[in-house]
Amino acid sequence: MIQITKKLTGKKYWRSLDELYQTSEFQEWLHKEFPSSGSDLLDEPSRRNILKVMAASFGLAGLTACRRPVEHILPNARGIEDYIPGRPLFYNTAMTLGGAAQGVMVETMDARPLKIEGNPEHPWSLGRARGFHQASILQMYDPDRGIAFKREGNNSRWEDFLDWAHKLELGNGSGLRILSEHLNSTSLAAIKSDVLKRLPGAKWVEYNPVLTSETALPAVPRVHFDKAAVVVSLDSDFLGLDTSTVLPVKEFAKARMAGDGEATQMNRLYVVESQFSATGAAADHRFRAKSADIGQYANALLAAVQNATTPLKVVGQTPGTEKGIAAIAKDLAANRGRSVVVAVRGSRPAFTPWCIRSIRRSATSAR
Amino acid sequence: MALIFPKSTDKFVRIGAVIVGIIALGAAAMGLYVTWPSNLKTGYSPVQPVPYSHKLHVGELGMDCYYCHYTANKAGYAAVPATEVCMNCHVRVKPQSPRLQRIRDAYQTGDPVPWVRIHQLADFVFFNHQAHVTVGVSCVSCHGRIDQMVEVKQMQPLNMKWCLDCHRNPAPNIRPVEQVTNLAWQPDRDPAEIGHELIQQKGINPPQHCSGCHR
Repeated sequence: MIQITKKLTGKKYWRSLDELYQTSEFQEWLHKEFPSSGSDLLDEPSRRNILKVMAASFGLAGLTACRRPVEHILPNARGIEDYIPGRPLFYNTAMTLGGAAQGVMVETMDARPLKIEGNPEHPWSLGRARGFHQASILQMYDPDRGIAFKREGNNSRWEDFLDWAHKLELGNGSGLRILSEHLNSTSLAAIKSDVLKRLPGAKWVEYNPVLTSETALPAVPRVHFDKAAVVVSLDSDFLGLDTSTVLPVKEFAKARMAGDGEATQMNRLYVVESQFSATGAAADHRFRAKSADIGQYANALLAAVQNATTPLKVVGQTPGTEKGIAAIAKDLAANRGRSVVVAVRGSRPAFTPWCIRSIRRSATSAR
Repeated sequence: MALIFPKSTDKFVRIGAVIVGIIALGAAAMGLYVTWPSNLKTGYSPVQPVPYSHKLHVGELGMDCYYCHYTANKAGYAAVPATEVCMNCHVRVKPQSPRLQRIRDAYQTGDPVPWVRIHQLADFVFFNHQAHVTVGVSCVSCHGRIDQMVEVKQMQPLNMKWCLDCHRNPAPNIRPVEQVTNLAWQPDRDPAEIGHELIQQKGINPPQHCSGCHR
């Protein structure tokens, strides 16, 4: 072993702890990295050696260009249907986000996914996709993306998994936990109930990293924003993050484009919200409120819509609230059957949904 | 001051300089000759991983170019076919041949056969097969008599001058579209005359400006 301290003067420098302690791993790495000259690096550097290597590098540098590069053409072993090299190929698929599936169309070029847009034939997307869907293209290039079966961190095979799964059937599955996304596919749900029937000791846990309003709902409300002349949003970011499809945006914009199609008059959007959102930015009238006060707004609006003798006050209201609520109620009354009131799902207090339903019933239903 | 070298040394120096000059010029000329595209590239015929013979398949069995290179008239690339295309026939024709072992392996494992590229343009040139084939430029104009080659060889230099020669005077290389893959096509009158008529008829106007190919 060569001592690093040999004949050293001045400060002692090192690039890693392994080098400082001259561990066996470091020695091994050094010889692996520079197989022919590992010992040279450990030797004392000499002026003669350095000049020798430099001269040789300069002298031979030009020679690298002296061979014809051999390029290979690697066609697919199995052909891809309809694939023409250099031409984009589109695949229709569906993407689940927050429990809601949306039809998307993926553009691929030479087997590489390039762009995700909505499927024009899909009634929920109308050929457009949300930012989340478009950004999901990056998942395809995520180095951490799972591409193989893993068992305890090591690569495994489907056959091994099957063997393991077959052994499970001998027991009742106690101690087994299955983690999945929220399933909104009926066929997957059937598989799930089948598995739990066979393995009563097992538990199936669903977890969603993204929770949008449609998650875990038995039915998804279909709001026709395009038919509404007045839209009231109580902390619901229906143009932004609160919906998992692009449909509300498309339909709202359709009613917004006055004179451009069926709508003769622009729709009006009132937003009461606790944060800055895309919906608030698009609002004609925006009222700010703490999210805890949204329930009070709903109450006050209900009272105004039902023509209560004494209008309800919102505790801690911002200036103009009272006037605003009166204006909303007036507008709702003027557009019976042509208005929409939406609220953030899971809003507190719990009676808010009831309020919203009552507002809808008394103000939005056609007379 | 006494001379270190006798005066006659001058003569040797002069002769030496001339000789060195001639050698240097000769070396430069030689270097230029061997790296000239028409000399460097034409005749390139690397050994392919599978001894596929165009002479047998095209020349003797009469297969059409488009059977394998089916994208030549649909896209910029005249793609080398998927291994599957070989297996269309070779599951029945010579299924045990050792020369086809590589193809069978590739078909089973899914690993591609590493064919060696012969015709290679610089990366800053955009060549589109479809644009040429569909107006009646035959395969033979650029690739030569592929149907007579056991091992494919590059026949043309594929340098810019060569491209422009044809873009300036395309008539000799334009033929009816249905004759494009007929490499042995022999018209009963002057091909240039036919080409000229087709150019007039179809309004063929090959680009000669830079961005025609350097996009």
